[in-house]
Amino acid sequence: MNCQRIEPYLPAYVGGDLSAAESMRIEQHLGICESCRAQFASLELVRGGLGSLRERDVEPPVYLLDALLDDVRGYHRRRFIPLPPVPPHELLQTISEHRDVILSAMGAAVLVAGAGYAFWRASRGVRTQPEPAR
Amino acid sequence: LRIAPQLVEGCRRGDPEAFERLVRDTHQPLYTLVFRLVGNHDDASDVLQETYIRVWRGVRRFRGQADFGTWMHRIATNAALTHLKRRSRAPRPMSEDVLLGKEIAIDQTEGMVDADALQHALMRLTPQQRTAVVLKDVYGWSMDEIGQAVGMSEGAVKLRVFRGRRRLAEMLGGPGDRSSEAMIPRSKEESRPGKVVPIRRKKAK
Repeated sequence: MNCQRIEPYLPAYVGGDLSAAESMRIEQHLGICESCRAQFASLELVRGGLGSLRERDVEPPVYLLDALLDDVRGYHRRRFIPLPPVPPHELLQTISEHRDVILSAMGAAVLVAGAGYAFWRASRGVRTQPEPAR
Repeated sequence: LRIAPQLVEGCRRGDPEAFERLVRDTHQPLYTLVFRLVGNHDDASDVLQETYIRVWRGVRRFRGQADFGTWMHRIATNAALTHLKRRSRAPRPMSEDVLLGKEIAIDQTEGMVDADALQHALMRLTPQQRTAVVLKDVYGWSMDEIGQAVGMSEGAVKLRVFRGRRRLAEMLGGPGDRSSEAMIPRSKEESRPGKVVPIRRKKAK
């Protein structure tokens, strides 16, 4: 088997993602081809390096934990959290979870608007009933 | 990421102290994952904040269908991908202090890739390739798990993992593969778009 047919399989082979039969073909080729062995060595090196990243934690900025905890305390103070755009299905889920609160708020808003409108009409002296004819 | 069932239960009940404890216990490993995906501290901090908002909103619906730690990793991964998509431009480069004056190299004696060089090379993959490679080769997830986490078929994940590995190998090169010089910027000057330089190798002792 020539190199052009083997090379595409090397990234899978290095991670053990091929069947036993495929792996055996690759191994046979690697035994006789220096160029493919070099490519495989590069891939192995990269994969080893990626594996070692697991052991290396990235240190968060010093302020981050405090900021996160402040956020968390904010969740408890406010039932509704200011959010970046969320997927529609999550938005619907949130609405359904808080349906009672949303309906109550909408009802209160309608009442306040109605009362405000009535007050405005009264303050401008608009009569809703025509005066009876004398 | 192991999280005690009592802690999960407390979070599900909406116990503020339990959620604070969860944040304290998990922010470090989640930050590491997110940093691997977005490549800089500013974006990683934003994504982590968004991650905990999503966890807070979703935890009451969590029914133990998956390991809680895995579930949180999935949320963080998706938050990172959404963040990168929203910005719809190349990720900001790593902090300059990581790169300036640093010899990005493969230590042939140790036979190891320099971790910073590897992180920088990861940032040159597409977000999907990077996510697939990080979850597979750094965190050891199965192709199927990755597919479920990011909403891709197993075949699509494999494609991205294999292409990602190949591109990393091309960028970083390796012993005996002098033809594939890595294209890693080493300084602010060299970090300009389109300006690439070959990798330098440490000499074997």
